[in-house]
Amino acid sequence: MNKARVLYSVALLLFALGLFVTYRALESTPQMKARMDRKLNDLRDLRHLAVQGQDVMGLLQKFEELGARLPRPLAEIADEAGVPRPTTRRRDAKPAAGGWNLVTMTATFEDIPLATLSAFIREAGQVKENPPWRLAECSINALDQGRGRAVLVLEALEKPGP
Amino acid sequence: MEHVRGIKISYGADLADGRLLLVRCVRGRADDACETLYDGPAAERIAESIATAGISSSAQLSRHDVVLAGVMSAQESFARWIHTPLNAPEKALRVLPSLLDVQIPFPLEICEHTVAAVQRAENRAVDLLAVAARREDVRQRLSEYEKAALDPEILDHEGLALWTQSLREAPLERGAARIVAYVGLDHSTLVVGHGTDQGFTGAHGVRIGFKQLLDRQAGDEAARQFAVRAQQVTRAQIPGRISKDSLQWFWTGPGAEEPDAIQSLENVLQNLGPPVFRTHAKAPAFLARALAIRALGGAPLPCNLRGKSTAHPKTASRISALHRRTVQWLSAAGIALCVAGMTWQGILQARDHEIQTELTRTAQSLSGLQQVPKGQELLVTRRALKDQADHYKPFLAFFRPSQADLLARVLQKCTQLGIRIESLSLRPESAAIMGSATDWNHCDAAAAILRKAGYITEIERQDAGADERVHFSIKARRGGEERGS
Repeated sequence: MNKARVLYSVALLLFALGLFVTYRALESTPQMKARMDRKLNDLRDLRHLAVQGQDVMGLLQKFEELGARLPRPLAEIADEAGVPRPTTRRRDAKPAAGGWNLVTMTATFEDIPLATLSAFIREAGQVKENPPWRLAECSINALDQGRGRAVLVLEALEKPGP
Repeated sequence: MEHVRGIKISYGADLADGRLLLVRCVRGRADDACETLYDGPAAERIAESIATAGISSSAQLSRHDVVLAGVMSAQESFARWIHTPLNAPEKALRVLPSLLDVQIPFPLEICEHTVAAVQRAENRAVDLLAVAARREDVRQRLSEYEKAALDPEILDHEGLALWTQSLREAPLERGAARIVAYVGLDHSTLVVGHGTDQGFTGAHGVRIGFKQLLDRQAGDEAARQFAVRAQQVTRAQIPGRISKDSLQWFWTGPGAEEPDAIQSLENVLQNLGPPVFRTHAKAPAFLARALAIRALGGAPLPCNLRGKSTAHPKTASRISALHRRTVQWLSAAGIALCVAGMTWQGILQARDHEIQTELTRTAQSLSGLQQVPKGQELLVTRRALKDQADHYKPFLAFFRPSQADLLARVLQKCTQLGIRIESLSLRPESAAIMGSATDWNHCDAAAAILRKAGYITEIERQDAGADERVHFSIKARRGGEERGS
């Protein structure tokens, strides 16, 4: 085989390789495009989830921006609301997002004018520098003359210090 | 035979009867420009004469865009249409040697032959215009050119050159027939063609030139012999259905400018029709011009009788260059295709990688996981967010109406309606109120507040007793959607 024929064969092989590479590239394009489209759809869904998540994160952020990380003591709230101090019992604390805990407290008023109960609950729910209390459950049994025994289950978020 | 490509300057050398006529043609954009460089005896010191015309320098002729064409006379060569029974040109070309062998008076082994044209007959069979010459005659002809210090790369066929140039300079009307008569010093050539495709039919040498025609004693006899030969050729090659009015006769060659010779010929050729006699312009240089024009490429019926064994070194060089160019183009095209294909793949993969990176980053950011399996980003993130949702619920709850609002509304309504509450219990999933009212229907208002908060209520009432109050109990359980606070 002379040199010219070898060169011609090599050139022909190179050309065939070029055709093969081009064919493979064109052949794989629709598959690649479909894969990219699928990923782009997933990415769009993830971004949508991220936007939704930002709303929730915004709520967390509001708590983070508070001056204090612990709710006000219920005795202090009772004093401010002008009601007798309740007997309190901390029931449990469940972990929440961002290092916060959801604490549940039972406040028992053995004998309280029921008309003032709303003032206590309202005062407890005030957002000042501290995380507010939220009424989860309540149980009231009437006594005489507009008074009663009230058991309030209150929840608040707290973030224990380091 | 394929055209020689890329020629910009061509030379045509008409060497006959000891006389050389050299024409140069330069390819132009609109038309090719031709000029006669030498017209004189092909004798000694011709090399110097041609050198002054500027072509004998090897530098000029060795250029690949310059070509010199010589001519093989019709008398020393053979041009004939070979009718094959085959429909495929490739097959027809393969069987040509055996068909040609029986057509020529010499063994094909001692001949150079080429195919000037391939065309289809009316029955779709392939016809080949074969041109052949004895190798010995070709060498002899080349030797004659060598004596004139010329080495033509192309040895064209005289008949084909005369015919194509005649059609080029004076197009033939459809259906007409033409005889191109080249009159040289010692010989003449008659080229015949006709038909709707204005096809070449044949070329025939006549051993009579204007020297014989102008001979005072033998001139008339020479003219008569010329006429006889012309008549034979015409009868043999022009179909009878072509009217005699359609027969054109074109004079050319050095003899065309000898009025006495031409007149004597026209006188004896009257019995052919008489034909319409015309003379090509610049008739002496006609053949040399034809050779040069054809050598530029693009003319029909290309022909080179310098076959493999008599090939010009430049031809081999051209073939080698053609192969080299083919190899270069194939390689370049292959590399370009490889690069284009790989670049396209690269672009797609880079884009895919970019999307994948963004997908992974977003999934990691949302899920809080360090490793997110490829292809499961959305699934894993959704699961992670679902797990996280419980941890965010308390935050959401603080921005929704609490039981405090419900309690306040219930207490306010009961106060308004004079309802005495004996016990009240509000839980997320259930509620209960026991008490007494002054009116049978007053407890409905309290129940309505609970219903509005999304509870399903049941009321039990008792008839008024001694205290004249309606005692009731409301039991509620979570069941409906909250309809606003």
